[in-house]
Amino acid sequence: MTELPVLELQFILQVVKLGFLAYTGLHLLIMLVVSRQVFLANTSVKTPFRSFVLLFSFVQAGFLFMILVLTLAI
Amino acid sequence: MFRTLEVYPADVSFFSQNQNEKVFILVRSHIFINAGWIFRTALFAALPIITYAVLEYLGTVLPEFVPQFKQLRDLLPAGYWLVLTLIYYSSLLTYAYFNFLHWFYNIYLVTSERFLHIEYKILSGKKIAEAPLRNIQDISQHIVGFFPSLFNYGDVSIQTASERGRFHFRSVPDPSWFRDVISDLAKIADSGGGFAGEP
Repeated sequence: MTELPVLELQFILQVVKLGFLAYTGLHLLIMLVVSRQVFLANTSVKTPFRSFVLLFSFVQAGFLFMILVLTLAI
Repeated sequence: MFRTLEVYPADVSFFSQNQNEKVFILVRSHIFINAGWIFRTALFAALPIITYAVLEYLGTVLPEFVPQFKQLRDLLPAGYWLVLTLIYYSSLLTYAYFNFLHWFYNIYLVTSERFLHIEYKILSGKKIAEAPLRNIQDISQHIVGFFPSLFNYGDVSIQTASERGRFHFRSVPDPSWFRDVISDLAKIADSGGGFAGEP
């Protein structure tokens, strides 16, 4: 494999990072919409374990936020 | 934990429930219909680990066949690989969660007055269909296929006199029992009787 020049490598890494940020940001946005939808669904039909299902969507949103922060940090 | 058929379910109510209306049965599709996405999730969760282990092993045993694996691994810094792994597994988790939600919020309810099909499609809205029990004209059940026969689940179709026409209860557990109970409830509702006994 040919060694890439440092500047070129830096550029590629920045593009990759931007891709990570865009994907995770969009993913987080979708997850927040889903959390809201799950909350609305839970208010209209009350079934057992609905709180755990809602809690999981918040945990997943938190996890995605953590990835976003981690991506900014690298 | 997640029962798919509950008679006199505790802690179940819905937004348009009338004051004296009782929920008799809560049904979701049989839990086995989730096997496909659970298997796919497990497969895709194991895939990167297996691929990495195989390439690592081949790189050690037959270095001439996978000479660039180590260089490919070193192309990105460790932090990038960590984030990439986290993104991959979070996407997988979301995929599994969406499938679970689709099953969990696809609910059939039979009450003392009517039966309802409440379906939440998390990103595209909700669908609610209902018909009074007294409007039931004809009920049929279908158990088609190997797994439905093995695990005793199938579809129950209810023909009603309402505008909606035919209702399909998909992959209901124990469809024979379900059809029988709906039929009995329809008879009682049609005769104007009360619902003192258990279904």
